[in-house]
Amino acid sequence: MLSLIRSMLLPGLLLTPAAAQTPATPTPTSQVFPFTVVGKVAQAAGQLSVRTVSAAQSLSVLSLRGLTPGTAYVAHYHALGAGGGEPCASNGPITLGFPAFKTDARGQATVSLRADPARVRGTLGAYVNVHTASDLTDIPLCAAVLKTAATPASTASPATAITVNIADNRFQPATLSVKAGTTVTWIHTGQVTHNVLSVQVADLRSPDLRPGDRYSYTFKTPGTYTYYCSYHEGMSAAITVTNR
Amino acid sequence: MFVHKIVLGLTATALLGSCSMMMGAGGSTYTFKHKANAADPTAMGKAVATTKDGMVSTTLTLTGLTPNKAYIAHYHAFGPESNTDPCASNGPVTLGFPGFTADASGNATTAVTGDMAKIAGDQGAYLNVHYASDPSVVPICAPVKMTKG
Repeated sequence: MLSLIRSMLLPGLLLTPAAAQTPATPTPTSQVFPFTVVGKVAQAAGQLSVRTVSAAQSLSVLSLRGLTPGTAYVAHYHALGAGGGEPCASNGPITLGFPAFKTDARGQATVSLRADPARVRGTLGAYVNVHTASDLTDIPLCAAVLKTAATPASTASPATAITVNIADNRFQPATLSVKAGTTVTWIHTGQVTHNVLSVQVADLRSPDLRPGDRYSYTFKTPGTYTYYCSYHEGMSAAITVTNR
Repeated sequence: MFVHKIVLGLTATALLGSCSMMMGAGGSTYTFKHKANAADPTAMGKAVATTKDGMVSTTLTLTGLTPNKAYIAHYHAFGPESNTDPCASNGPVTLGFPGFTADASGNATTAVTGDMAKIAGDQGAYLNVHYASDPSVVPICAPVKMTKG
């Protein structure tokens, strides 16, 4: 992921006066990161475009569609969370905020942010979340900026991080196959309280999860693990863990 | 002989007390007990389960609920967090009652009929009544099966 950010930022950072005088100097780089749906609004989509303007300034532009029309949203860069793993599931702290914005009558919005690239360099700008302004726990979209493969956690395990959405009242996906050593993160995208428990594995046991909460568990041993929410009928799912 | 009667009497009392259950011609009755929380402090009630043709019909009769508040109730299987206290075991839902709303006096009844296999043995270890708006709030629970396995 560092390499990605560096590839995005370093050309600008290295744009010294000497280099600027060279006719062959490449134009400022631009990178595009797609947003993925993490909430309940399946049609939501968009992209984050980041362009290096100068060593001291980058321009980030969110182009969003499929959101609720005429609704106020906020968006932030987040640092990679303490647990590492997949950026959008890492629950990291906010490092830089976009100006608040409102979608138009078609549910579209474009919002720009100019900032010092150092503020979102490396793990400081791991991902961008779009939140509903009236309820920051409602996160319809997330764009991962940092490549998961370069996260510190991945050096200890070849497995990748996987997310499962906790909706009202189902787990999505309901079945999943992962390699041993994979950390699965459940993200609460619903409205009412849920939990994640397993009869088979005593330590696969979340606290009560409210909207926006996350819970992670690393599956170390191959097998099929069923889990459930103890509050809702029929709310169960299974994860099959295979050998690496 | 006298000692024998006393032992029998004590045994019967202990069984009834521990299981909160009474068997009779009208079916099995389970008594709801308040959980260790502040929700609906006077809530109480009972569940009466009758069996016919492989189906179990269970009726909950509840009082002391929050007037006009919506609730949900479920049978739960024995969960992983206790082997001897079903109401603390946090097991999965195995059979749900239709959602219901307490009347203006905080009283409510609801009933469900389900396949006996769904709640046989550990699959029907306890009954929980939850706030519909936040199922993590469980004012009362009725133990059905006191020991796992």
